[in-house]
Amino acid sequence: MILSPLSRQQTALRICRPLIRTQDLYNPKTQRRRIHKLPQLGHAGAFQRDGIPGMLSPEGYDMAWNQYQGHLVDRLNRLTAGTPLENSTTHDLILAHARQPNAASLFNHASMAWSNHQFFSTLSPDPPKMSPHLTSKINDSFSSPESLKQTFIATANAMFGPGFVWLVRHKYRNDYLMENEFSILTTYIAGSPLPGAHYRRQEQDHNTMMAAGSFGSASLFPGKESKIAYGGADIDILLGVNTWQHVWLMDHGVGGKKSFLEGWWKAIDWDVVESNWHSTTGKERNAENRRSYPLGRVGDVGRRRQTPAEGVY
Amino acid sequence: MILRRTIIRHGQRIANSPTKSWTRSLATEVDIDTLPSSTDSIAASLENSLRETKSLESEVEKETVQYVPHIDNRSHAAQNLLEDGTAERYSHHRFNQARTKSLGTSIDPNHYQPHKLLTYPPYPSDITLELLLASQAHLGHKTSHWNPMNSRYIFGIRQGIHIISLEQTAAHLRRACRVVSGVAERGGLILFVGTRAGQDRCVVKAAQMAGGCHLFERWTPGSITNGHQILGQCRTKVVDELDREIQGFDEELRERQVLKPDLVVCLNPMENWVMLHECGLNTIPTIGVIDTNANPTWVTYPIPANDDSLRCVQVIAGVLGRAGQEGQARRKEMAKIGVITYTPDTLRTDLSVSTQGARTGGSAEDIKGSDSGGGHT
Repeated sequence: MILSPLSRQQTALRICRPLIRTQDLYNPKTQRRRIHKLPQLGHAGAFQRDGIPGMLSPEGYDMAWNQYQGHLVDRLNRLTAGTPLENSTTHDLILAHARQPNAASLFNHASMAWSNHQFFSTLSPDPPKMSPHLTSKINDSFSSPESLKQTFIATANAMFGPGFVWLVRHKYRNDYLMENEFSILTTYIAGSPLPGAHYRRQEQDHNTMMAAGSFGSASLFPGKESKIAYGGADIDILLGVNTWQHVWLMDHGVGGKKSFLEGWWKAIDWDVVESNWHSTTGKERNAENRRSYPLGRVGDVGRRRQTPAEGVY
Repeated sequence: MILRRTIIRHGQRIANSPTKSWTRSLATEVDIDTLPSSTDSIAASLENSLRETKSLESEVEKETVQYVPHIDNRSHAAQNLLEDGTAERYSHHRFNQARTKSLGTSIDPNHYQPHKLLTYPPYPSDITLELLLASQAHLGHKTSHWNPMNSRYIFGIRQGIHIISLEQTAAHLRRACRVVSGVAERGGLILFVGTRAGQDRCVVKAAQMAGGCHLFERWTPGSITNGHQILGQCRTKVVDELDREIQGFDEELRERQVLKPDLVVCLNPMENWVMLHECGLNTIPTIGVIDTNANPTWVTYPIPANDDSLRCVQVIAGVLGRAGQEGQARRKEMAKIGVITYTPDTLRTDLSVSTQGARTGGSAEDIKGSDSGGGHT
């Protein structure tokens, strides 16, 4: 029939309609600049190819880092875009919103992003052994690295529910009372170990530890709370493990938390842990004196730069 | 922490004043005849109070960590208290801050922070169309409010306002930078004027960098044409090529004319047309931020830009201040090797004769005068 080729042409035209509407191409809502981006890990390439041996497969790594951290970055962008907070770093967002329950979502996502990045930054595909200096320091607090491992894994295993477990160093400790230099800190769910965000540290399960009668002046052991002023920068965060289920569920199964933790211990890069501590041995102290630590002055428009001018706003 | 501090404070007070005030007060009251028996009881009570303060001190010491200065074995000198680890702790803190701030997400550190335009102003080499666009330099006034003399600077019309061509802005701004740095290099006095609200900080900063003067309050009419009356009480000084003041010219300076600027940078010409007119009468070159409704002939070197945006004005003032800074640096470098980039003023006073701390060697050598007629344009 003469009509049928025409109708066939019309249907062909309908199929070829563009998928993106022209009004969306220039719509500011769909063309938004992403300010927060996924951070680059040092060993990202190796992790992508081979995963983390003993701990995560390439798919597990993809889920735990690329997908989850990407999700957190995306959520942070959505939460802060268009607000005066859009250029704040994750660290600043955490400190600014630790005491604001109305901004709980923003705090939670920022805290998870920070903690997850800290966790992955201490992993290595071919990790070096603990240095003698660090070993001796660990021995002072934990009697041996093996004892530290057992305590760490036992603490993480005992936590029911998602969270992080950290190795922290106390900066201001009373040598007369022989307080330990290192200790293990737990943060439940999206609690933050950062000193300024102590309000949301969430280091104990309220159902078991912080029940009524377990704290305060009328409790069994009053005066156990820290005497250091709130906000005091009292700890260095050296090492942390993410015990959320999405990290280990795919590779170790529902009951595989312990095997995940054992695998994690073998993948820790102890050099990074030591550098997080900013060790003050003689050699390192000289190296530190040669370095310069910019405090919020990176990329200023007016600063003299060696490299060609970057984007200035 | 607070409790401990009060104990220390009170403990120190008690420790520092155990006996003096007590014995003094007793001495005024006690009769000399009854002294021997009183002294026994006085001694006993003194001992008691000392024992108390000692025990209090020991209590206080238990609570806090005392920083006892280390004594060097060889020289037997006590080390500086600053070497007690404060510097180390501070450097550790800075390291820690830098490390923890970068964790979480990757963020561009070059984002706009308003205070940085004042604390770290941009350099002339940082002038880009992107910077000017972000600083809203392209936004002119309503089309009905334009001055047709500005048509050459206008790119077009959008949403009822004129859009200033940023290429024109950049070119004129770079030229103005060259003028400012050239004047500064030749020892000229630059006056930065910005009388609108919020322009004070950038004006002061620019003047500081260029080694010039600032004005952020109302210009008093006649400050140049009637300078003797209005600015006659201001102190002037004679400096040499290295900007060191030379004493001994007070009498002569009193007779000399009042200073006039060698270049005036005006950030809001619409409000300061009187000043610009006075500058014109006295052949003082001027640089001005010319909006679409301003008259470009009022200034010698117009910069077509938005004078209503504080961010734009801060960028322009910052950039011109940096240009002045560069000029001053060049002048000082030349002066160090003995090259004077300007014609020094001739002054009457002969310093070789005067007795008070004067430089020897002639009156008219190497003296930078304070008059603008020294060929500083």
